[in-house]
Amino acid sequence: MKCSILSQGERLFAYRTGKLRGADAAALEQHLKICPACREWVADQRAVFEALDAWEAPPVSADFNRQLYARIDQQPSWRDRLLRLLRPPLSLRGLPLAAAACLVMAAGVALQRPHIKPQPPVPVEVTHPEQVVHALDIMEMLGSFDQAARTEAARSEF
Amino acid sequence: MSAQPHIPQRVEPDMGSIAAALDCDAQLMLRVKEGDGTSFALLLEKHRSPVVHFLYRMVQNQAIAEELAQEVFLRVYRSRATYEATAKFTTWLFRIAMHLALNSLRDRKNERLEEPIEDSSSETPLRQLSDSRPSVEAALVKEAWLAEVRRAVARLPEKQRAAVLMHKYHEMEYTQISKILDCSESAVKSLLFRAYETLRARLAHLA
Repeated sequence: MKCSILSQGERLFAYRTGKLRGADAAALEQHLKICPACREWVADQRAVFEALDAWEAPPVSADFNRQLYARIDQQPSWRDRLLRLLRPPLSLRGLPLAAAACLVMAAGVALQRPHIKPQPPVPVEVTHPEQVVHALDIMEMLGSFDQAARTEAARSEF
Repeated sequence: MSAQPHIPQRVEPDMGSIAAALDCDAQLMLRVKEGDGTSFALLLEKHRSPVVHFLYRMVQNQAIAEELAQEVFLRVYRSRATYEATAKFTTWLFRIAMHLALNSLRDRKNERLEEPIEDSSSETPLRQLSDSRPSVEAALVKEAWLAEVRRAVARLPEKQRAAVLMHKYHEMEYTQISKILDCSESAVKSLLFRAYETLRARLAHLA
């Protein structure tokens, strides 16, 4: 008859991986003393663990970091690209200082200028067409008076 | 990138954040988020070998493993701005590594069927051993034995393989493996049990 503990398997696995502790572990150890099938299972599992232990991974290449940092520099993220775009070039680094200086100078000039009262707006004379016609009539009348006066003066000379 | 002088204090009351506050790596990553390149260098130094070794055992090719590991750290660096310390740093790191490994394995599936598994005997040359005939023979026997171990692991289903590697070589708890594999803890127990049973059946004759 097959051992019930062996057929479940998980309890033996828990014991082998150190997950079974205290009274449970002690009980299983007692069982192992009298059950050759379970002992064989545990021995096989130990062999698997030892085989896996023997499988060593090769060391990491010496230039791993150099290659990684080169990739980081070569392929900046969208965030880095955006930050670089927003970062002002060296030639513009002094721009805020220059703007502040200009502002101070402008304020100084404004403070030194004499106070000028605002002039009232000059009224604009609006000429209507009737006024123009009337003025022309007067000019024509004056012109005719002037002509008449010259003619009278010439006659008196003769 | 310049080193930041202070460690950010975490004040969120949830358990994930409290656990993360205790995780030194998560603290380093939060400093990387603030622009501290030295912290990134420290994380790289600490986790480079475990990540490369995990990937090597997953894909069984050193050049591909290193290429994938570089991609892992590149993604870590690029994700620094959005990083939130809600879990252990290694959980996040190995999650990235595992996804890249699975994608690579799927991409190379046809190639791998045609090519033999990488012979790592070139990495540990026999010349380093004694020239006496019994030692050479012993080394050859050992190499054949290791090739069988590698083949047995390579033939495991991908998730079982990843679970075994994280459990055996990185001594991860079931809880962490379950978070990396995005499954329940009981599913991890089942995966591991089936994987080790398969390995036992395949490697029993080596004992």
